[in-house]
Amino acid sequence: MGNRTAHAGCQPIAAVVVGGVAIFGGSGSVVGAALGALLLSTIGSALVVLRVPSFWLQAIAGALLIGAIALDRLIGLRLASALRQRSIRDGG
Amino acid sequence: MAAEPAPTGRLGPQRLLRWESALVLLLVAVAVGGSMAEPGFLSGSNLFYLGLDVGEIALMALPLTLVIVAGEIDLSIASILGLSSALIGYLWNAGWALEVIFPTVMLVGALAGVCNGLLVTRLGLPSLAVTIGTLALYRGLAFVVLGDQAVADFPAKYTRYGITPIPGTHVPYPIALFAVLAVVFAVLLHATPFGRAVFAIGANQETALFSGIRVKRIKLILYMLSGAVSGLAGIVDTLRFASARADNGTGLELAVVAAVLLGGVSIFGGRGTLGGVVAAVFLLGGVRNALILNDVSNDTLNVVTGLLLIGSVVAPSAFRAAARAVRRRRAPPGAPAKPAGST
Repeated sequence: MGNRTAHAGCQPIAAVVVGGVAIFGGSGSVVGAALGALLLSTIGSALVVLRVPSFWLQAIAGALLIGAIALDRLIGLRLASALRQRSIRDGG
Repeated sequence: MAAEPAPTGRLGPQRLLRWESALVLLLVAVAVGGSMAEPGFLSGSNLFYLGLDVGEIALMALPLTLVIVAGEIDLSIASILGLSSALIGYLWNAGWALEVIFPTVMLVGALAGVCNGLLVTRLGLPSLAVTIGTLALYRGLAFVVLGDQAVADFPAKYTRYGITPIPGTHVPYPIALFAVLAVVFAVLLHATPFGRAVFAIGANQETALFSGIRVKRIKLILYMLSGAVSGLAGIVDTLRFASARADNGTGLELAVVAAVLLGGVSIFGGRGTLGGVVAAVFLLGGVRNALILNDVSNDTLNVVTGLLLIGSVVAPSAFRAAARAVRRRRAPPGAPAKPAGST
């Protein structure tokens, strides 16, 4: 029972974050979150079809979650530095 | 100056007016109340089982205290415990000796902690999000390693350390281990430059950085310690139940976080004492144990635990607000008087 609840507790967060909702708040969309959930459940179904043990799903969800936050952060940093350069160019 | 955990510079009874002393009083109240409701509550054998019951939580609370004081969080600890337990089962099946397996799983735990730490410090990701991710990842890896089987054919020569007291006493081995580690972590946090740096980081990370404190390295070390001790808790858990399973300790991270917060450590960092956390661990364990002794049903137990968790967040800050109000009232006549309505 404990295992199932822990599993279920993580999945929505993973779906929402993978769907592009920033964990800091302030950006994201319901459609994105739904797409994130769709992606995760598609991966779950694909694992069954590929006869991969379902144990992998939780590990994959966790890895995707971390990947999504890391990517979000990297894109954010890249965007910030691009904006800074543009403002320097425009200013000078 | 940020290293001061609480206003302790005052003289007289006000010095005792802090959350840690309230915790000790509560602990005494639970001991008295528990033994009134059930005479055997303070018996050696019951205290032995109480100690056995809080062993893993107590161990993992030590490094987590340092992590939270530094203003971060680690929710992956119980998953590292599970990964460690699953690895013990897998390596035992593969024919490794337990003397080799134990250091190996602690090393893997430390590596898992380093992964958390690198993601938090090098990529600058929020630790809450990272460790929710690794909460799922490490638990998932535990299932990948061992599946849903249980490995239970460990020799009694080892498993007896999980279920018997140290000969001649009522002290379980995990609690003896915890006592040693508690002293080590208390000294580390409260009596070394490293500990002062941890408080400084939690109080104000930028200030700490500009004061020449190696913020990233210290956080990385804290996550590594957290992972290694969680790996150790996995060994304790596996020996206690004489069973290595991937789902060992599922959900335990919340009990550990609750104990640390009840211990008076601020979730925002920069404030807390290890003594308070130790008292809180045994307070929560004692309440649970007293309820079980009185045949309280598991559902009620869960409700009470939940209420205690909420209380553990509210009580310390409410207490601090009250203590501040008392201090203000007792302030010397020269001090500016403030209306008491702002609490």
